[in-house]
Amino acid sequence: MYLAAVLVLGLLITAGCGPQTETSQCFAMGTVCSQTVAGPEEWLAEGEQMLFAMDARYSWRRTDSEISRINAHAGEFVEVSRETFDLVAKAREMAERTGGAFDPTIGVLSKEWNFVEDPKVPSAQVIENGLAYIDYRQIELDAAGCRVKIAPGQFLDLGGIAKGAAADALAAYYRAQGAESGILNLGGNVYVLGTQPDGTLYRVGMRDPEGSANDVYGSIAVRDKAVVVSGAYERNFTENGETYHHILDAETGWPAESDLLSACIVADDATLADALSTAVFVLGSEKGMALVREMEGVDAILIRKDNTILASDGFVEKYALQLTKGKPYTL
Amino acid sequence: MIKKADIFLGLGLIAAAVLALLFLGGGDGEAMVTVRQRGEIVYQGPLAQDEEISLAGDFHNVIKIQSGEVFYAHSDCPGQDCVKMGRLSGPGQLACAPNETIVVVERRESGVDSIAG
Repeated sequence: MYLAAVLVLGLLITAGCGPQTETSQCFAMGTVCSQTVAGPEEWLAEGEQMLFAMDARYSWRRTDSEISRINAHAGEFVEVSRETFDLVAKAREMAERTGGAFDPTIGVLSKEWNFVEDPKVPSAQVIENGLAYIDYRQIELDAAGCRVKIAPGQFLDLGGIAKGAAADALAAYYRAQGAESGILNLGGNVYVLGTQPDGTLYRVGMRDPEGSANDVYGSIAVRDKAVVVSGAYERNFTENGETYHHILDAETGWPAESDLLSACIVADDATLADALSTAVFVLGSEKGMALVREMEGVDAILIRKDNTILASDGFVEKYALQLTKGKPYTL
Repeated sequence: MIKKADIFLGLGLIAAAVLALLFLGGGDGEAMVTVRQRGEIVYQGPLAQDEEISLAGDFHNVIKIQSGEVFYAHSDCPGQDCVKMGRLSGPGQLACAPNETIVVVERRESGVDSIAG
């Protein structure tokens, strides 16, 4: 009996131990940002402040942001913070690497579609005119002076990369504090830091593109990875019976029409993963997967409109992919 | 030989273990709905209990808990993402970013730790 008592007491004690895990949820970058980190509350409070600061720097919707200053002074060099300079440089680099499938100068049209605040289909003329200003090659960077210049008429939108950059910045901060465990979810852009406090891997679910917001078609076990999914299901609207989603094709100015329902990228670098998931979604399964294969340490799992799943080499084993029963998608 | 005291001790330990599991969250308890607005908890209750929660702010949200499901029944926010998120009948979250409201359903069970997408 006393042995049982010791065992139960032992269970009670161990159940209450282990690193303290804190969670926070805040609204930043136009979305819900959830953070769970094994560490003190102060870390998360600082993490939230970092998110608000990044939102204030990177959002084109905020007239006082650094990106808005660049947009307001198109045609001139504008001095910005090192963080903003680095992100614009990274966005330009990702535009180059994806052959323009991801292009931050898409802003000239994203502000017309205005998916977040007042979605509407722009006129064909507006789209035609806007296309002339979408060209990442016209972004000029002066690293020594931390200055950025876009061509007159151009407009930057970092919406396809900023959440990834925020995840990288937060992960770097928590790591520097000594965190070994955490999971960040910035509006569906997930970053997994280390393992769960008990050493098991975190499992990230990939949203079912044809289900509700909490429906997953499968899940993967990852460590120190970003998992970013782009799909047509989010931020869409219907006008005259037609549904329009928010991922614009820089070639046409209209929502991308590829053979994909969703594109999920798994990579160490969340900034890269964010931009790449947009690009792959726009490019479609064939060109998109070819691009993924060119990049070292990057994996992808794509769902095509015919309900087939295409995964990069070794994906299933590497991330212990589990598909949800009852879903129509097949590997 | 089992004494009376042993039986009491045994029962006491079982009760302690049950309480510990409840308080430490190790059980498979009923699903709970928590609604937050700007970080503050504005509603908390079981998913099994029907309720209508009306939230004013920059926009107006009506959140309904009905027949074991919770959903944004109405919102006058521009994107309507919250209404389009559908219904939750188990763990997960819904949110209206323009009105800074979030609905979280929690229950300890195996599954995924976060959803990308």
